[in-house]
Amino acid sequence: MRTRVLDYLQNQSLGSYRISRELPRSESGDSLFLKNPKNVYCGENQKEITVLLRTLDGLNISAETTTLEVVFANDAKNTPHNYADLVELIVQAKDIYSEGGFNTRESTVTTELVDDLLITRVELQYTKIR
Amino acid sequence: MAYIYPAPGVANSEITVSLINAADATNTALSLSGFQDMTINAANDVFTWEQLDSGSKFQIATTSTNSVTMNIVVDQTKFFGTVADASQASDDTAAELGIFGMSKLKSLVEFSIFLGKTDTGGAGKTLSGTGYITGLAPTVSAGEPVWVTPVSISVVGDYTIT
Repeated sequence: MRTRVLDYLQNQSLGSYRISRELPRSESGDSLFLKNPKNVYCGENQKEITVLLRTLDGLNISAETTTLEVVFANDAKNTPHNYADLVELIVQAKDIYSEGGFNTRESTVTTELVDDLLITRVELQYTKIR
Repeated sequence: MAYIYPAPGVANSEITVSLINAADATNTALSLSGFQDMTINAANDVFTWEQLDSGSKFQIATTSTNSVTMNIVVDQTKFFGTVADASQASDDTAAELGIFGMSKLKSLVEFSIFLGKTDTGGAGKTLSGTGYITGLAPTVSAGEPVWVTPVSISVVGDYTIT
């Protein structure tokens, strides 16, 4: 799923932003997205399986939710002109799996300020019956 | 004490329900599965009267309306049967007709419900009788995209406990 999201983003017009296929790991104590502003990183697939329907004869029908976090940083004072477009493109990545049986597709955008950088995180969630 | 503890997924301890089409000469049972919940109803009607010499009403229990209701996850084979709709006959087996077929054909069914073992591992009780399948209403939603349906058995006469 991570690969598909990265492929989708790489095929978009991102202006001065770049897509990194590295995980947003830390290097010398700093996360890569802080060291390399305007590089968009995508975390590894996180899976959560919860019971949707329980039965008295042992049958369990579960919902499998895969969560991905896309994160990037840019200058907080002079936000690139296409910042909003990029965020919207990432949000739309929730729908790239519309044919995959996912009955719930969600995305959540959060931002925070770290020194002079604006950190943007987009959480993508895909849920299907397992 | 002997509390009834049906253990989901444990053979000979979990709740089981089997249905036989009364018109089927072979008495072949269909075992249901995917129960979300189950209710056994035994609702006595009560006749009430008043007397001039009493400040309270008098009551006496008369006949009981018995029924079994449950919600199940729809298993395509058990719900629609193993025989195509157009070929189903009233004396087919319960498995051939499926729950839906027996409802559609108004088949009298012989049901048998094992309630589960007791907390001390004692033998469980089986409740049986005859009745008609009613109340099918399969439903599905985007939030829970799995077909589930209520199933009622309107019981004809008394329950038998063994």
